[in-house]
Amino acid sequence: MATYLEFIQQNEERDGVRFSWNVWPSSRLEATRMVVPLACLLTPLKERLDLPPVQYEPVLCSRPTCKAILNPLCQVDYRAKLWACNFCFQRNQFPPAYTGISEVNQPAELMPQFSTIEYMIQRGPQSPLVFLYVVDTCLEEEDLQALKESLQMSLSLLPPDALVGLITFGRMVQVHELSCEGISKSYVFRGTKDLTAKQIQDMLGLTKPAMPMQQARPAQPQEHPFVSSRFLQPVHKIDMNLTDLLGELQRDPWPVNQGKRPLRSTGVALSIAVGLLEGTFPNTGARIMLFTGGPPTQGPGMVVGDELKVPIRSWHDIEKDNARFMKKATKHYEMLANRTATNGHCIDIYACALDQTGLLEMKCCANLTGGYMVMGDSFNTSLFKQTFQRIFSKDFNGDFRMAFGATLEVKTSRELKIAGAIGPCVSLNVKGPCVSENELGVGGTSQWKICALDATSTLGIYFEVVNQHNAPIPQGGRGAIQFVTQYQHSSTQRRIRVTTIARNWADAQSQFKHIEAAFDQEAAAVLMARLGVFRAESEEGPDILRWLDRQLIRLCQKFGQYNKEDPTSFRLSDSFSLYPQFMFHLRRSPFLQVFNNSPDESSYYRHHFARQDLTQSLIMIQPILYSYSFHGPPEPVLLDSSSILADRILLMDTFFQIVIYLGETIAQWRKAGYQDMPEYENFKHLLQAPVDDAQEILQARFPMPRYINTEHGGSQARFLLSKVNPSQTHNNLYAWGQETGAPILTDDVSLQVFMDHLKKLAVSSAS
Amino acid sequence: MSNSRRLLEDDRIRCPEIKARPLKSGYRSRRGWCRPERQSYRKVSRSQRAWLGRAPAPEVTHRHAGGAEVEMAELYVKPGNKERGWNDPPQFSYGLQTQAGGPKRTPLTKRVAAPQDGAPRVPTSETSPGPSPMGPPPPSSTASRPPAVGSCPASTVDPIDFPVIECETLLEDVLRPLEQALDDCRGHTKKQVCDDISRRLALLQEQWAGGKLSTPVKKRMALLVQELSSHQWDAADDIHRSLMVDHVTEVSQWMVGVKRLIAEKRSLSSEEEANEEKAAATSENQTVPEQDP
Repeated sequence: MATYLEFIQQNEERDGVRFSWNVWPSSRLEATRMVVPLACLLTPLKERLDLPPVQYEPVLCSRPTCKAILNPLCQVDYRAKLWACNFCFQRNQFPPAYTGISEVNQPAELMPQFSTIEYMIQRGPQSPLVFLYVVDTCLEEEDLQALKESLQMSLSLLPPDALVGLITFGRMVQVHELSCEGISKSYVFRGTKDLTAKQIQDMLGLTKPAMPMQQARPAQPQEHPFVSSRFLQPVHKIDMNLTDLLGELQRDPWPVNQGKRPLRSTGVALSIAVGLLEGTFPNTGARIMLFTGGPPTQGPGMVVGDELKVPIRSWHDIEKDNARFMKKATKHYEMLANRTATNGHCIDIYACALDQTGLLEMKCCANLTGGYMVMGDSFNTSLFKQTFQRIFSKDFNGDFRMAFGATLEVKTSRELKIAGAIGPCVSLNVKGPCVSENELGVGGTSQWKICALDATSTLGIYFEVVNQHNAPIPQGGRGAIQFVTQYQHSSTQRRIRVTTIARNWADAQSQFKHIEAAFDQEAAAVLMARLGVFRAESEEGPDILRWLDRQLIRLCQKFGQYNKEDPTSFRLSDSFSLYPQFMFHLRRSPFLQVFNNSPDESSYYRHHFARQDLTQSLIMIQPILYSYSFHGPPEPVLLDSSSILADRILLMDTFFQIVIYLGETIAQWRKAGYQDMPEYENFKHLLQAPVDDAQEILQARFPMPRYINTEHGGSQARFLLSKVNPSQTHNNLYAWGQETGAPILTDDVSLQVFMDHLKKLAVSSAS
Repeated sequence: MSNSRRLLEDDRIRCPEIKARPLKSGYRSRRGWCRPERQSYRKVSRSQRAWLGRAPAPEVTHRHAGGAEVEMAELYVKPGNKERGWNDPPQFSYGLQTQAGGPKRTPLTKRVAAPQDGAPRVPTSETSPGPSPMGPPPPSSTASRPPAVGSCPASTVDPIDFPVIECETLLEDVLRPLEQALDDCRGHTKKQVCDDISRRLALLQEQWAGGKLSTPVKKRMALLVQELSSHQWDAADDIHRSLMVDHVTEVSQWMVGVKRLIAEKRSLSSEEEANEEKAAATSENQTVPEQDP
């Protein structure tokens, strides 16, 4: 067993890939009986300390429909200088540069340890990165000031030759001309009227003046298209003027009457930003960064009217079809998101307000383009400031972690087809022989576009085994998949990362044990959860829960060991033992339950769930709970009410919140001040230990989570109590005795009841 | 509605006033109360955790010969803004955020499998009988655990109060080299840019003289100027970034001038170097034919 765990971990570290199954059932029929689809979580740009890019271009298979990249799985004939493609079996000549190739003189891409390799492409024009700030000025003075400072600060963090632009909006939308001359000019647009890209470009003078310039100097056609843009200027030229310009920004001057919301033209402002970049920098890395402090209240994309007495839509309104502006607004932002994705740009949304800001309607802008979504209470919080700083964080090489304009192409061997992908991507609609007709997620294609990504961006990719049952794969056969990610590195180079993996096929009858042992329950849980969350965007909650339950029951029927109609005999092997509790916690998670969350919050949580890597996603599904006490070193404990003990300190990580909870006795000791007495120094250490560990998490996490310090009986203890399995409730308290934990006042089903039902259903011959 | 909002706003304005006890390093900026920077809030020390028995990371002292003071100034954590953000997380200084990893401990990602019946284990008696609820915690001396407590001396655990070195950073010492650098750039850099930088240096002078800059800013500016004078462009640039991140309110208006100055001085000196090389090359070429005949 340990060997499979090691294998899985090694593969994740080397290739950034986790498969639900690591030995593949060899026929379509058997694969469908496995319940959990053959799928993987792929982190295309996983940070690798030991992977310097090679400085040449990849060698492609010559078959036009294949074009797979030479990899360690290819058969090589060193004497004839030929290689056989492992996907289409085409025999290819090595290019002239490879004449010196031999068994002892191999290029890196043929060595087994380079199953993942990165190529640096020299050709092609290098265009600078673009950052376009779209700033809401309908903010409170304190918030606006903090935001202005953060933006000024960001000028010091941006790459010096990046281009930067500024659009501000309130009732009107202002596009600021940036010049070094010290006179600030801006173009003002009304916030109520939507404009086409063409109109925007005409009005900003982006099309007309550029034409004669190009005609006058035909020698340099597309060399420096950015010279003509007065709205986007290199940071190193404009930083002083832009600092002043930002410093002088005022709150929206239009009066806001009592009982009204400020008029906020977010929809038009975004539309202008998208149009501006569309006209000037299509297909180069660009971020539109929207900073907003409230909902759009006028023009296209408005989410709520300006009357304060009419609250913004809730889940209740949406269920009753009572959300007046939702559909229209969503359509507007979807149109913008799709255009942005086509241009290869991304949209970030930084929404800081106490009430909802319309993330539900605007979510597609970030989801389809790979942009970030950040939700906070105020721009004057460390949550916003540090999250924003971390966008510009650098890796160990001193390069920015962000990457742009990626296309991910997936190639499979013949027995497999691609069913779809779920993540921050859009389909490129590339059909081909390896594309399945059965879609899971965004399907019908073998290529996706990821407009912006970083070292943790992760896609779920789903496959279908198509090999027929009566055409067995020869013993020892292996299936292969190649992931080819082309992207723009933050240094503006084009790079190609290629990962080629292979797994064994196994006959599901004779080698069932192998398949079972090679199940990766963590990956499977996240992949199933992504499917569920993807469906939750369009389907009713209860339907999805039922679907998840049915899948779980079927999986237990297939892989459990039991005697028919005898629930007590039910057992799952080690490789499946955690899976049911993952599903239990997933059912209770904010990704599938909207109760107690606003539509904006649900959108926010789902946004992050659909892009984080396996470890973080799993923390979101089932939070981590550590216990600190005098009885030994800190240890992970069950996420269960029985773990809440008086003499323990608990540290819970839910990804979005870090909670430190002091048990009753510990809290009393602290109140009595023992930590300040020299003879109880160890108590002080005990109090400090979880704080230190929490800080370590806080330092690495993006976005910055909320940080909750609470104790037994504290009102914020609810964050812990709502996450633990309610094994003791007010209903069964006395059955468990008094001293074994904290009863939770809930009618929710506990894991035990859940498991009892699951076993009953799994062993029953009726279902 | 708006009335109640105004009330709230008033509260916010008032609250800090109540807190405004005479704090040594507290100050009021033009926008109101600014939290004093508590550099002694907590020194992050890995050795403290050794007793926990998990991956006892070796004590890494971050005090390299030259950068000692920089490190001291830059590693701190201060609380978040609880008044504006619900459960706002603490704020890490630029130095802490960019710290080159160091030996990372095993991340806290372990889980316990629930027994297959889903029922929680009844806590075993050896772990739960802890002290009676109201009794004191086990005193340090008698407790068999934590064993490592002795090995980590109390001094490293106490928040380290950095000795207030009574070296007043003088405005002159910071400003003069900056102005000198600006003078060097005149002729090389556009006049308008030079004037702009000069305007910002004046602003720096004014704020410094008016007592509006805090001690950490002054100290780090002194370091920045040192690095600039010794042509350590990257180091100077990094200090500028750390000041922008940690003290943006104080420095944002004029720091961009310093940033530009670093960049201009850098390009000037690289140009000069290139020229010198060229000059050296040409002079060599000139000497060669002389020797030949």
